[in-house]
Amino acid sequence: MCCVTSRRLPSRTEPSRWRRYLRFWGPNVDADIGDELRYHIDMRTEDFLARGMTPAQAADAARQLFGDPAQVAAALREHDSRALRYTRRADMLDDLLQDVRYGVRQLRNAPRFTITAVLVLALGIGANTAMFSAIDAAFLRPLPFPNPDRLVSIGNGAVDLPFEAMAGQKQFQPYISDLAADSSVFANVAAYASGGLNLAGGSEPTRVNITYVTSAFYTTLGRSAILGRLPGPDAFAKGAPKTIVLAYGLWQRQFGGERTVIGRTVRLNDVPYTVTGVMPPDFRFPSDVELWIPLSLPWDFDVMAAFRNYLPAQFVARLAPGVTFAQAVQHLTVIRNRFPVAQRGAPDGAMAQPLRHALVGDRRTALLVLMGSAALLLLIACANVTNLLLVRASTRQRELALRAVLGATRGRVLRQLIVEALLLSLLGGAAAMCVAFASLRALVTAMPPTLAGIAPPRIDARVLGFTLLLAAITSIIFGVWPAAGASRLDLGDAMKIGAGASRRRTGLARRALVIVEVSIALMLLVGAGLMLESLRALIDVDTGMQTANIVTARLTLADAHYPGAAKAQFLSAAVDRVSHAPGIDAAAAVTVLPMDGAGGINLRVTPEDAPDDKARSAYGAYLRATPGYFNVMGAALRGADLPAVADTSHRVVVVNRALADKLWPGQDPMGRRLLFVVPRTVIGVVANMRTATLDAPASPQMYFPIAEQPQNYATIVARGVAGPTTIGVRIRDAVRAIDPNQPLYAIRSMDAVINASVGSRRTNTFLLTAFGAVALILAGVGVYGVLSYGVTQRTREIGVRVALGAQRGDVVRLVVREGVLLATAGTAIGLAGAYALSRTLTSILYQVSPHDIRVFAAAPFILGAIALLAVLLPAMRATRVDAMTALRAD
Amino acid sequence: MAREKGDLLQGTLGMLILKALIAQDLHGYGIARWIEEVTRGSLTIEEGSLYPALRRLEDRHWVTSSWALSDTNRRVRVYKLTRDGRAHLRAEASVWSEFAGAVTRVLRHEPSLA
Repeated sequence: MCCVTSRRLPSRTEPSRWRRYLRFWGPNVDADIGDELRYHIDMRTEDFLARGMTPAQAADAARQLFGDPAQVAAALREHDSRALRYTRRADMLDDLLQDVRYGVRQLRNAPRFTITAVLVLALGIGANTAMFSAIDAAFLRPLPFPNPDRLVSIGNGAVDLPFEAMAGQKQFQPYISDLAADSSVFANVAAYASGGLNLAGGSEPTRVNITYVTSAFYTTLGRSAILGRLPGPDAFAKGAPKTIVLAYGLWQRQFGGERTVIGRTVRLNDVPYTVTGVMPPDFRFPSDVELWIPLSLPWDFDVMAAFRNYLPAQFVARLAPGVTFAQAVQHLTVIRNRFPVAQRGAPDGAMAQPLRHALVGDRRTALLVLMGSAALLLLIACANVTNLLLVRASTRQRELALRAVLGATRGRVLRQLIVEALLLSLLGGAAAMCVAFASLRALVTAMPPTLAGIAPPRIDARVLGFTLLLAAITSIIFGVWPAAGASRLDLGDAMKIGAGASRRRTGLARRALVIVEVSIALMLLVGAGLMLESLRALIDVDTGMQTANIVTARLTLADAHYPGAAKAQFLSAAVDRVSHAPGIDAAAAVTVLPMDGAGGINLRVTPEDAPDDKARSAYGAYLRATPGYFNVMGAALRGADLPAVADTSHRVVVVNRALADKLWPGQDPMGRRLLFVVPRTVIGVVANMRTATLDAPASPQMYFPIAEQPQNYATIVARGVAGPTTIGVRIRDAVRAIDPNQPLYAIRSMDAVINASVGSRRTNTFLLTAFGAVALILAGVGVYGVLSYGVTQRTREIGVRVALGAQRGDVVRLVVREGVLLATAGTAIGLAGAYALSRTLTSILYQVSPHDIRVFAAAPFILGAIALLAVLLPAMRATRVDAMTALRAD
Repeated sequence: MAREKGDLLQGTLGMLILKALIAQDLHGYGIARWIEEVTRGSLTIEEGSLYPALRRLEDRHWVTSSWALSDTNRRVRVYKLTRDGRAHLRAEASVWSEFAGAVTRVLRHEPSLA
């Protein structure tokens, strides 16, 4: 019946290559169906004709027997079109798979290229992945509270006191009762205050970070316990049984994660509390809290055990439905305006902030600068890989031309090249995840500490998605251009050896890319330089003390064990023991250590001779110390030290320089009296020690004898040659010898204390410097690559020149001139860019101008040194070109 | 009656086509003619329904098709039974015979109708 196969419809079972070959002619669905059905009806009609029907009858009968041809044709058309679409899609997937296989082979065949490109991309993408995980945590990922955008933080608030302000004039502070009064603005308002207490009753006695919270705390934040229950309103009533809620971490650490912890009694500073609940792991608010205690209002003095004489209350509030943040601020302003003008404190803006703003705080700029720097680094990486690909494209011209000759369309070649670029960037992305994981720990210190508990940076699906997206985008940035150029190639030209015009074009492009690389590297270098300069300035800051060989340790003396004067006796006994221990020169105790992050209370003091002179009053930090404290800290003291015993008939004070200058400007403060509740005589003036941070000048301070009114918290400081670890052990032994149950905590060298205060700045500087260094290397490699490739390309030209009598110097000059041109152009653009961009650093720099001349002068030198190296290597190679070999080559 | 015939065809047309192709490759019209001859015209099918049925068989890889030229030099689409199709037909045929036998036995049961 049939014999010659002229044409076949594709079927899915055939091998794809054969199918593709058939596809070349392409099926025509409509024609095929028409032919098939018409043939059937025609044959049937002939049949009937043969049986003796008239043509009309035959046609009619055939039609009748067949049914409705149009309907059948329609059904077939639908089926065939669908089948065709399906096969086309399968073909495409097949092509893609083939491209991927081919691409993998190509990359495997050029391992040096592949490894270089993947490493470069890993650094570029990795820096961005890591920074994104930080940015995500700080700005993007929702805080772990329902509707977190409705939460507002109100700083510097006050909770209702049982008495009038102790000393000085009361500053304006929003009272929680004022805020809670109007529930149409704030749906819930809660106050919380963080401090520390000694915990006993867990697996071992320890110091814990506690937070007192008012009754609306949990409802405001909208989270509930994972175990047990949260305190009800009655738990916040005066005289209610004392209860606590544990943070997940403390529950795991101290109570082994046992469910029986609910209802157990633990002791905080020797006062029994009952555990009622445990919060989920992601609920750590404020960030380092370990347990929460109900705070009843107005508060009692026993609450103060956790603090340093000062209840630093913060508010968190949830906006009522429909209320905007601006309206809330307005409401606060109204409350504030009820106070006399003279008593209004903070400016409106600082009073309320969206919670996330408040948590991210001043780390915002640094994080954004780092993210921007990472993006710049990625640009350099892309430029570098583009360059690599351009070189590769020119060496692959013949291969690509061959494919084109064999019938590959331009689109097909383009797709092949883009698939290769995508493969590269995906490999780079995978390596980048490793880079990001490795840098996660460093990143944590760059994060706002207030966010540490609720939004730590982490590598999760979001970050993975970001990395994939970034990899895809970068492959387009670095891949499409070389691919477009390579796929555009002129067949005749490419098959010939050594193509002219296209090579010149990519040569220009490669130089432009190197200039971009150099300029970005310079910008990052300047940024890193500015950060390094300010870190150096900060570390060089005269802290007013000799921090070397000092070790500090904190302790809290429970009232139940050490009532009143017993505290002072304990401290002086401990200090005495420590100072007589081997290897220790001197020891002392103070209530609040400088640079320890906890400021203590600031109270208003006036000189006795001018109690109403506003200009000469000050808010001074209130500190108490044992004799010898200034000696241990190496702070210069003029006049007499604090006495060991308190003489109530002759109250004395040591002031720091800052306070003296404020109270008695231009006068000798010795022997003068200041008013702080009662008049006190200044017996000494001590040099300013930095108080809170290295970058802020010392604030006014006054020191009283610790024996006069012992506090329940203290830090023991000891100086000696024994080495920090040994000194720490000596302090602990001394305290244990007096009271084995007395916990010591935060045993650190003074240098560590100061280092911790600049930790985030150090991390920022480190990261920016690392970005700058990587950028520098990449730019160097870029310059090297373009020149080295140029030398290879111009081997023949150089050979001719040598043959015509050019000297080594001439050849070197030829290469160096180009390198210098590239580096100079890049440097000029980079300097201009750095000048324009460095202003964004202003708020994170310390005592360094964003246009610091030293940094702007040094950066080009460093870059120049690397560029010189990158130029000289290819130049040396050029001098080794032998005229005869060069002319014979090609 | 027409409806019952349609139902019958739905289930069995595929089997008839496969059977038609077991001995030789055929085009659509050839299949129709074969069925007509073998059943001596007692099983007339609506011939248009052959083609969607053929597509369904092709989708299941029981049948493949290719284009060829007829004796009269016209393009014809020729269908061919695959190995899968052959196996399927064998299985289907035994199920069918068993079923038909069972139905026949029921109908012949006393009081017999046949």
